[in-house]
Amino acid sequence: MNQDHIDRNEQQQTEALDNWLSQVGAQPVPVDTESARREAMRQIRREALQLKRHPVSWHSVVAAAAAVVLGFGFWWLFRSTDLAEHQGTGAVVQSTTPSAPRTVVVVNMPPQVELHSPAARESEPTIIVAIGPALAETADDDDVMGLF
Amino acid sequence: MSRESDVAGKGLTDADLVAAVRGGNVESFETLIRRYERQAAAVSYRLLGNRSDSEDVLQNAYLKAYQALDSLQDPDRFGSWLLRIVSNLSLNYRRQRASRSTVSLTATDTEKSDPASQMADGSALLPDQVLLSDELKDAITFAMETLPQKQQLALTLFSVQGMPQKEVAEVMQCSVEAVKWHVFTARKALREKLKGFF
Repeated sequence: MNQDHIDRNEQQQTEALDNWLSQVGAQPVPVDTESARREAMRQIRREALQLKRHPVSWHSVVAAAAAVVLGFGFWWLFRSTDLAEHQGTGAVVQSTTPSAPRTVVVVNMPPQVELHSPAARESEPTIIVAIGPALAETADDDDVMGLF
Repeated sequence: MSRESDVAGKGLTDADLVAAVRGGNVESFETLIRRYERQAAAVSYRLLGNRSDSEDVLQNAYLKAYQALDSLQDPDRFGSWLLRIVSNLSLNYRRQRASRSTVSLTATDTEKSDPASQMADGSALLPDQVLLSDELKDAITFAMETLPQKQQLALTLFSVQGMPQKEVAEVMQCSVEAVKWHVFTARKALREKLKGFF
């Protein structure tokens, strides 16, 4: 059997095989596509409904953005606050003095009241009361109690 | 693989429908499924050889496709993408099934002996298919099951389903040359396995 004959034989077998395979492919499949689709869509609709109930809605996006803007606004407003400027306002401000307490409340006080906070000492005769973590170290309890 | 005109969603491309689904229109997803379900069912059935397993896999594939739709980079290729999911799930299912039991992957005895089933799958009376006897059909099915997965998938999509090689390559995520090679080696192996029938 020479090579030509072998090649021709293989070629014929391949053609026959392709013919069989295409016959297999031509037969309709007994799969209920309707049922598979319907059941899948039922689950998909349920999933979509649950997503609607707990959406990442535009409301929550706007609220988050507003919070960020507001936070940034406060930071901008008070970022270089001189505590002395806020005397008597009662505002909660952030001190820029490195040695001062981080959070202070500026209140009306008689000038003669002396506090022991570094912020108070630096901004004399401005009257400042400090509250927050540094309070215990820098101010007497009596002074603070007297203010509120 | 993109279809624009069919009964459902006429005039809308796959990309249009994918965009609609992403925008919250679930019904558009059903339209997409309708476009490809026959092809998907055929691929799944050819790989699994079992009606109810195919239906389970299809259902699962549609759900997975919906959940992963945001990851589809080219919405015009929805068809290939869906067929890829169907193929992968079918092959996975078959692997799991094989490890669970040694039952034949061909149609069940009930399906084969039931005349209604034979009518339904066209294996009984179509004159131009008389050449393909049940014995040969079973032999082909069995021989294909023994092929490596890539060869089987390439042969199923190309030779059985008649898909163009380019589309087969898209589904298999490989080059057209690789598809040609898989088909070539699969044919060669099948010729060997089906020697007695030539």
